[in-house]
Amino acid sequence: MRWAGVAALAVLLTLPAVLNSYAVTIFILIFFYGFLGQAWNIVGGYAGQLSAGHAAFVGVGGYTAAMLSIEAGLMPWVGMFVGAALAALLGAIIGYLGFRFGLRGFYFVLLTVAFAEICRIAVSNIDALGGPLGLYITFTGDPRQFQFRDGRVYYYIALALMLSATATAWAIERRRFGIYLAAIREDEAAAEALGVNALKYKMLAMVVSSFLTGLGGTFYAFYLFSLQPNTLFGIPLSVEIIIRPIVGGAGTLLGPILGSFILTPLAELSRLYLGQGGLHGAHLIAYGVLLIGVVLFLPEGAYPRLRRVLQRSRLAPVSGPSHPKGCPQERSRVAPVSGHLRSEPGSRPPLQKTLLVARGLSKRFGGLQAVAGLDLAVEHGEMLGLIGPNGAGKTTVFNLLSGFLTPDAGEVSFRDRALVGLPPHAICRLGLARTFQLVRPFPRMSVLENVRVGALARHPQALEARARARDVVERVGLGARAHVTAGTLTLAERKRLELGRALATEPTLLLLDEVMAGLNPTEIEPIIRLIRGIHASGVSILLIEHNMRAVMALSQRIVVLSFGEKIAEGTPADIANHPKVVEAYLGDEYVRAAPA
Amino acid sequence: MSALLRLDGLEAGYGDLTAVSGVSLEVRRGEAVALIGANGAGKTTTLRAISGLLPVRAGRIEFEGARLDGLGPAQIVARGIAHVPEGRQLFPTMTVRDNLELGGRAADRRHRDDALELVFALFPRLHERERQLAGTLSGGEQQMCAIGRGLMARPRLLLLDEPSLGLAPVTVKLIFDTLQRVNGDGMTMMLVEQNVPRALQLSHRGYVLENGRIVLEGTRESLRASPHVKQAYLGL
Amino acid sequence: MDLTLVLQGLLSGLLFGGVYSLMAVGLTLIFGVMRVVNFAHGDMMVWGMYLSYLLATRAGIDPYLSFVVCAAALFALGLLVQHGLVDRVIDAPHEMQILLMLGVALVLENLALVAFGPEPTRVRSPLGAATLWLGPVFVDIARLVTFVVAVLLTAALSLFLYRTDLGRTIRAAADNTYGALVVGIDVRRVYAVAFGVGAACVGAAGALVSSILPFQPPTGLSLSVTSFNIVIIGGMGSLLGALIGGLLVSVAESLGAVFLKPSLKELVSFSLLIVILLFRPAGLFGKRTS
Repeated sequence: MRWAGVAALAVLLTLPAVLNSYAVTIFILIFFYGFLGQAWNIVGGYAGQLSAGHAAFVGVGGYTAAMLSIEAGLMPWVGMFVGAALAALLGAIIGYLGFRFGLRGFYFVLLTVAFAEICRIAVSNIDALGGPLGLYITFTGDPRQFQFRDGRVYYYIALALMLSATATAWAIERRRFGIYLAAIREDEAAAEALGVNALKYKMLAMVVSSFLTGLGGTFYAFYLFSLQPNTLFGIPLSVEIIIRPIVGGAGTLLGPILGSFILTPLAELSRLYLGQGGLHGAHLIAYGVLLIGVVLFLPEGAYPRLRRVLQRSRLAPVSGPSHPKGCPQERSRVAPVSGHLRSEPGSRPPLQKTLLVARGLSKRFGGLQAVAGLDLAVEHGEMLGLIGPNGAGKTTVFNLLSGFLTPDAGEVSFRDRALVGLPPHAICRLGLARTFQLVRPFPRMSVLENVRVGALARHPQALEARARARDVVERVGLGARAHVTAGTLTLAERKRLELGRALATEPTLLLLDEVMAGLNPTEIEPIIRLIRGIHASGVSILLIEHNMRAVMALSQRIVVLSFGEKIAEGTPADIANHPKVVEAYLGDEYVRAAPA
Repeated sequence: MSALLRLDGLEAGYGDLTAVSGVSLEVRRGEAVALIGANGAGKTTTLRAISGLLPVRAGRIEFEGARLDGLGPAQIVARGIAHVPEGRQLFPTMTVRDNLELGGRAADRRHRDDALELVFALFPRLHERERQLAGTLSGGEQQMCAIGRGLMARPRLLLLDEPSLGLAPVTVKLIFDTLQRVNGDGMTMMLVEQNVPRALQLSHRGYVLENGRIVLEGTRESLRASPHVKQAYLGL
Repeated sequence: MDLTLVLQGLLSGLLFGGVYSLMAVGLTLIFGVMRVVNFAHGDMMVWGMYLSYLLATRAGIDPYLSFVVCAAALFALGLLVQHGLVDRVIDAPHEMQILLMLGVALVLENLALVAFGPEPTRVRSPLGAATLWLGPVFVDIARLVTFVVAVLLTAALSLFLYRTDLGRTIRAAADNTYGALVVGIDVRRVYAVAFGVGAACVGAAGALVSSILPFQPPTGLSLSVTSFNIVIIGGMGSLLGALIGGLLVSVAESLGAVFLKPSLKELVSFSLLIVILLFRPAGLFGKRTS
C-alpha cells in the first residue's frame, strides 16, 4: 500500500512535464473535485450527515478571498484562510441548527439546501458583491495574487489541496474522532450510550469539512477569475461535490479521489465532445445514470469493491482503513494489562452507601402512564433485578436512568450527581453504562472495533483503547470472533458483544436489559456466569430479565413493576411468593385457582 | 380430524439470522393450538412465515392440502388465513370501522356487512367506538379491533400473536373469553402467547418452541403436567 | 405601500397557489405512502410542461385540455420509476433513496435539456390574454382557470382517497405498512399506484401552468425545492398541509415580491422553511411524532 502510494505520488508529481495543457487542465479539475469530495466526505461520508449545500462553503470562501483582494488588496494566500474561517462559521451555524434540533435524512438535506439557496439569493441581490453577474478578477499573473502564467502551478496547488484534505481525513480516521464518527454513522443512539458526544463530534466534522471546502472556494475563484452566485452557491455545484465520493465510496479514504478520477474526465470529455454538438446536459445524464447504478448495484461505492478485488488477487494487498496491517496478535500491544478492568471499578472506594437513587420518577407517553412515581435505589456492589410483565415500563425506566428519555417528574442521583437533564454520553462517562434489549451492534464494524468504541470513553488513545477492547472481547468470550463483522454474529454472540461494549466503558453501574432473551438454556448458563464474574469484579448491576430462574439466581434483591408502578420489592424468596406479583403475571383468576 | 394446517421442517429467519429451523407441527380443523416459548424463541417468526410475511427458507407449509410457502401475504389471506399480529398493527389515523372493513376487503359488500355484524356482536365496545380513530382507543380496545379485523376476513384459520400483551388482567380475561367463544363456534386458531396459563386454558394442544426448534408437544393436560413446562413457563 | 399592489399580489399569489398545492399534494402522497422523497418531482413537472408544449405546437391542443393527457403520461412515468427503481431501494437507508431520486432528477432534467434546449419556453393559450377587472385589481383568466382546475383535481384526489376502496387501501398502507401487509393488501401495487398518482399530479400541474410560467429544464430543480418547502411547511404526508401550504407559500412569495423585490421572493419561503424545520418539524398540519 505504502509503495503503491509513493509510486502514484511520484507519477503525479512528474506528469506535468509530459502532459499538454488540456490534459493538465483535466488533472487540475480531477484534483480540485477530489479535494472538494474529500472535504465533503468528512461530514457526509465519515459522519454520515448528508449535506447537499456544500456549494455555500465554496461560495463563502471564494467571495471572501476575492472581495478582500479586490477591495482591500489582501493577498488571496491570506484571504483564503479568512474565507475558510467564515465558511467554517457558516458550517458551524448550519451544523448546530441541524444537529441540535435533531434533523436527519431528508430534513437535514433540506436544511443545507435552504442555507445554500439563501446565500445564493442574498449574494445575487447585493450590488456590492456584483449582484447576479458576480465578480471578475483581473489577470495580472502575479503569484502573490494567486495568479500564475504557467497552468502547471495550479496543477501542483490543486494536488497539494487534495493531498492535504486526504491527510486530514487519514488523521481523523485513525484517531478517536474518526472512530466516533463511524460509530455515530452506524447507530447514533448506541454510540451515545457508549459515551460518544454525538453533537460535539458531528459539529467538529462539519466545521473541518466546511473549512476545507471554503479553502477550495479561493482556488475556484482565482483559477477561473470569475465568481457568479448561481455557479458558486448553486445546487448543481453541491451535486458535483457529493457525487464523486458517493460513486467512489463515501466514508473511505480513497473513495472521493477514485470517484474524481472516474467522473471528472467523463464529465469533461462529454462536455467537450457532446456539448459542442449542442448536447449540453449529456454529462449530467451520465451522472444521473451512474448515481442510479451505484445506488442499485454498488451502494458502498467503487473503492471498497476495488479494495476487495485487489485483496483477493493477492498481487497488491491493500489493507482497509481500520484494519492495521499484519495480524494484531503478532505485534506487541500497548499495555495489555489483563485484570486491569477487573481491578479499576472495584478499587474505587464507595463514596456513599447508595449508588443510585431515583425518586418519584414518572413518564407519560400520550395516554399511557409508562412510569408512575417510581422510587428505586441501587446499593453499592448490589445486583438488583427489575421484573414485571411486558409493558410494565421496565425499559422506560432504563431509558430515564441512562438519559435517553427525560422524566416528566422525579429526580435521579448517581454517585451524588444529579442525572436528570444530562445527555446519555455524559451519564456513561460518569460510570453508568447500559445495554439495549434489541441489541444494536455497529453492524459494519468488527467485534473488536465495536468494543473499542466503548473503551475510548476511558482511553482516548486509539491504540490503547484497542488493547483494552481486546481484553474485554476475551473476557466476554468472543476472542475467536474478534475480527468478524458484527452484523454476521449469532444472537447469542450479539448479546455478548452488547455486554462487552458496555463493559468496556468501565462502568460502576451496569444496566442490563434482557441480555438473556432469546437464548436457550445452554447459552444462558455461561451468560449467568459471565454476569456473576462482572459483579464479582466490583461492578454494581441493575438487570431487567424475563427469565425468572436467572433473575432469582442472580439478584440479591428484586423490584417488581406493573403498569409503571412498583408493586413489590424484596429478596427473590419474598417475591416468588408475593400474591401481587403472581396476580400481575398471571391474572387474579389464576391466583384464586392456585395450582395444587 | 384432518389437519387444516401442516408445517414440515420450516426454516425462516432475518438477514443472516436463522430464527426457526426444522419446525413441524399441525393444526386440525376446529382446534385451538398454542405455541409457547421464551422471548425470541421463534414463535412470532413461525406465525409470520405461515402468513407469508417472512419468506420460507426451507420446508413446506400446507393449508387445506395445498402448498402455501412461496405465496405472498395477500394470496394467503385470500386462501383463508387471517393474522392478528403482535402489537396489533392497526391503522391509527383511520376509524375503527375503516380498520375493520380493511380486514374484510376481499369479501363483497353483503358478506362484509354480515361479518361486521358478527364482530360488533362479539365486541360491543367496537360498535360504540365505530367512528373513533383506532389510534385513540385503549390498549384493550385496540386488541379487540385487531381481532375483529382478523375475523372480518372470514378466515378458516386465525393466527393470534400475543393477544394479552400489555393488557390488564381483567381485559385479558375478556379477550380470552371471547376467543374461547369464537373457537367454540368452530373457528380454528393458532395462538402465540407469553401468558402460558392463559394460553393453555384456551388451547386443546400446544407446542413448546425453544431456540427456534420444537422441543415438546402435547395436549393441554400433558403440557400442564410436564415438569419442563412447569419449571420454565409456569414459574412453579 | 400601495394597497392595490398588495391586494393584487395577494390575489395572484393565491391563484398561483392552486398549482403549488396540486404539486405538493403529489409529493406528499408519495412520501406519505412509501416514505420516499421524490427528488425528481419538479423535473417530472417540467416534463408535463414540455408535453403540453408538444401537444399545443404539434397537435394544436390547448393546455387546459391536454392536462389530462399529461397526467396520464406522467402516471405511466411514475409507475415505471417506482417499479423499476424505487421498489429496489424501498428498504434501503433514506440516504440511498435520496441519492437514487437525485439520479433520476439529473437524468430527467438533462434529457429535457438535450431534447428541448436551454431556451425558456411558454405555451400559448387563448386564455392567456384575457383578464377580468374586479374593482381596482385584475384577474388573469388563465390563472383563474388554472386555480379552479387545480383545486378541483385536488378535491377529486381527496375523494378518491377517502371515498373509494382503493383510496382507503392507499391510506392504510400509508398509515401502517406492516398492518397493510397483514390484512393482505398488495403493498407493492399500492406503492406503484401512489407513485403514479403523485406523478400524475405534477403532470397535470405542469400542463396547467405551461401557459403562465415560462419554463426551461432547470426550472424543475427550483420546482422540486419549492415542493419540498411546501410539504415541510404543511407537514410531510399531510394532504391538507400540502393544500394549505401551497397557497401559503405562493402568497408569501407573491407578497415578498411586492414588499421586497421579485428576485428576493424565494428568500421568504426558504426562511419560512428553516423556521418550520427547527421549531415545528412535523409541519403546520403534520402528525406530531414523539
